[in-house]
Order: sequence, then C-alpha cells, then structure tokens
Amino acid sequence: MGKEKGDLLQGTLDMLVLKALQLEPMHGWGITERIEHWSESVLQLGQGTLYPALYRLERQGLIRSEWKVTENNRRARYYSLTREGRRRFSDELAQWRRTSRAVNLVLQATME
Amino acid sequence: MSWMTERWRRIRSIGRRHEMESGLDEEIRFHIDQQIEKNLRAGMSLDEARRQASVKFGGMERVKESTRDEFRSALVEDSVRDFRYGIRALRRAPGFTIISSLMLALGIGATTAVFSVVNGVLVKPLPYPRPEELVSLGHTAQDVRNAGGDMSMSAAQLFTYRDENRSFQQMGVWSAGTESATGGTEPEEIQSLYVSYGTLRALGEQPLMGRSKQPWTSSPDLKVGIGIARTHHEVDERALALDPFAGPA
Repeated sequence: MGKEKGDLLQGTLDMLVLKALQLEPMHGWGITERIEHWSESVLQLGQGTLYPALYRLERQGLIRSEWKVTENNRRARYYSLTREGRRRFSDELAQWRRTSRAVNLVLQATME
Repeated sequence: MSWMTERWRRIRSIGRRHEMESGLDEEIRFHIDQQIEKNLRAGMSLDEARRQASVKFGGMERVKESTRDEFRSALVEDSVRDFRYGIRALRRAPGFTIISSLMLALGIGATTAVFSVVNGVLVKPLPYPRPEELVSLGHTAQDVRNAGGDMSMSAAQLFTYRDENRSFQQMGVWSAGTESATGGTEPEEIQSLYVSYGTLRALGEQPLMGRSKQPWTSSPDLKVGIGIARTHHEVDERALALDPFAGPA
C-alpha cells in the first residue's frame, strides 16, 4: 500500500486529537471532521487509527468519555480533555513549536 | 501523577475497558451514519453515500480489531508495569521482603504439612477393599497405668471373641516387632509384624509368598503366620529374600 496523502507523522495524531478536544467535548466523528476542516482537507484521518488512539488517550488519563444524546437524538460517546490532558497538550505544543521551527530553519538554510 | 491516583485510575479502567469495548460497535455505527448523512447533504444517492462512507472509514472489522489490540496490549503492559512496580517496592524494603517471604514460606509449609497428615490419616482410605468396614478393637482398664490403660489380649480372650462375636466377619491379632535380615550386603534390622491368620483375611490380603496356614479353628495356635510389614516398596523387595515363615516359633 502506497503512502496516503496527509499521512500523519508518528505521534502527532495524539496531539491533534487533544487539540480538537481543547475547545469543547466532541464525539469521534466530530474530531475527524474538525481536523479535516482545520487542515483544509489536507489531513484526512485514517479513521481506523482514531479509535485506537482515543482508547489509548483515555487509558492514559488524558481524556475521558461519556455517552450523551446528540442534537439529532442519537446516542454518541463524547470525549473531553482532563486536566492532565490539558497539561500534556500544552507541553506537546511547546515541544512541537521548537521542533518544527528547528526543522524549518534547517530546510530554509542558505549559504551565508 | 501520584501513585494513589494512578492506582485509582487503573482500578477504574478495568471497568471502563469492558464498557469501552461493548460501546465500540455503537460508536462506529454512529460514526458511519454521520458520514452517510454528510454525503447525502453533498448530493449523493443513498447507495453511493453508504458506499463512500464505508470506504472512507476503511474496514470496520479492521478498526475494531486494532482498537481491541489496544485493550489487549494495555492489559499486558499494565501487568508488566505492576510486576516491575512490585519488584521495585520489595527492593526498597529488604527487611519487609525477608520477613514476609519467611512468613509466607512458614505458612505454606505448615499448611502443607497439616494437609498431608490430615489427608493420610483422615481423608485417604486405607489401601484395602472396603476399608470403611475395618475396626480396631482394644482393651483398656483405668487402673492399669502404663500406655494410657491399654491392655493386651490373651489367647483365651481372642478365642472367646472368635467363637462368640456376632458382629465381625473376621478377627485377627497382630504384634509389632523387629527382625534381623542377614544374607544381603550387610545385616539389617527391619520392622516386622506378627499377624494371625485372621488378620490377612480381615484385610482381604494374600501373603506375598509362602502360604497362610490353616485358620485357627483347625490349628488352635496363635503363631500361625508371620508377615513382613509391607510398609513400603523397599522392604517389599527385601522381603522376597526372607522366608515369611522363618520367624521365631
């Protein structure tokens, strides 16, 4: 199988999920929609990876889930960030900024 | 995170794991339905909307399987982590470790010892046919002070029992002793048991070799047969080298 467009860097999926939940609790489908929208459809979440990731994050205590009824009267599992999750997100965000800046610096380097 | 909250989270996650897995089907169905609705809004036909939704989701069974893999690997990871945690905690407190190991060893040892005695004496039946029918008879007299009042049995008493009793099919007497076993590499003292004819009959056993003599009805003599105690295999083998009727007359 060839590399799909918008394949995520290893480890970034967790960060994106935490980001998607930072604003308000969301169900799994909402998370994929949000990430797709924000990334201008560049990041198409391989949905098979989302649910394992949600389970992993919940087990790590970074998110919690509860069943709620949607506006269309359907039961859905909503995920929300825990305090631990917020802290982890801001750590990862800082780390990401450092790393991506460094990578950009390297890629844009010119002979001086 | 302190270890207390870590423990608590772990305990809760045992229950949540089940809930998570049982809810997974419904969650995925919801996800696909949402995608179908979105496709419909985009102007697809119902069939096309369904097809596209499941293509986009990418194999429902595969998703379920990889989510379940997360459950499973979490189980293994947690167990490994708990095990490591236990080892570290024990290492930090060697005194506690030694004492608790000793107490466990003593406890297990004592329990095993008591169990094997109880098992041998009370639970496991004697290795004879119908062991529940075997009864030991003895005489006691309060005025006799040796051996807790136990009195031996005279020949006359045995004959009286034999002739008058209506309760027992067979009766026999025995007496423990020792024999000198010679002729092997070195002489040895072995445990022996003098038994009367009725004893083997009562136990439902046959002598290993030789023959038991006539019942005491025809030969009113107590020294009718000598059996070497068949307590264990080793003695059994050595008993073959002995004449079973060669005891003191």
